Amino acid sequence: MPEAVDPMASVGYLIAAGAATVVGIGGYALLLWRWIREARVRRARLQAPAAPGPAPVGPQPRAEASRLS
Amino acid sequence: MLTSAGARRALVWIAAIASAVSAAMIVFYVPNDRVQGVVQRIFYFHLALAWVAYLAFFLVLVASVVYLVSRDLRWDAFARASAELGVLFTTLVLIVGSLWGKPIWNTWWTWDPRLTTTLVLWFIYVAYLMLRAYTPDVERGARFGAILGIVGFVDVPIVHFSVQWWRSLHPDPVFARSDPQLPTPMIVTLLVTIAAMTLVFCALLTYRTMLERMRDDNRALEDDEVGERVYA
Repeated sequence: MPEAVDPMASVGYLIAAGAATVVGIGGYALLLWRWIREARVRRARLQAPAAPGPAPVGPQPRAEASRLS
Repeated sequence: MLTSAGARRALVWIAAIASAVSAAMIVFYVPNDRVQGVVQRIFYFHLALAWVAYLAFFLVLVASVVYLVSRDLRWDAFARASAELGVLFTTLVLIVGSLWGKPIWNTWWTWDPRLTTTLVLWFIYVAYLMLRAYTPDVERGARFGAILGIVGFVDVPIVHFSVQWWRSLHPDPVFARSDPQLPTPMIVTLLVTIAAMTLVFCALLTYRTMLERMRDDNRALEDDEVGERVYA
């Protein structure tokens, strides 16, 4: 161990290493939670029945054809 | 993997409690190393992170072999999840190792065999993730990924034995050497930290695999929707 490194600096390195581990794993866990939430929302949207569109306006071609015949 | 939400949540709580116990042991229980002093405490989570990275890549290997045999995409989802976590833990090994190397070796990085082979390992599995992300055909991506997942694992024993095969700054494996042995409090702390990190990995892997399957299901639903629109 180089003599220039004092015990306080050693504590600093230890805290930095611990913080890197916690931030790395915790940050990934948060990302994962967000991705899962997004995937659930997407699934709900895909599984939802299609919303009814606006009522047709004007004469309908098939109806016209059947009335003429 | 765990299928019930309750079991998954229980695993998260157990992993969190084990991590808290391990952190408390590293800070309050384990004695200082006589030579390195307080900074040697980095050793406990550095080694645990490395163990979990090896485990993750081993699971990629197993899932890749099973996928190639069975062609079941659930194994591919498991391999993808495990590879991503392996890359995360290898990244942390490199960062934490660098923070330990600076006060002990007086350098952030050196082209030592252990460090270099670990960096190569990181590149191999980053390449795996890129391959998976940029191959649009699911079956083809799974096949290529499985082959890379098997071939890539060759680097893991090279990383592990590099300190014995070549002259290295990095210390030998602590459990392999006969003398001097670690004192009991250090061994206990190390084992608890390894167990805690493995539980954290299992919890993350469970949720990451679940996410992969949800994404696959969503993709299938989207394809069905597009198909219905085309044939309507």
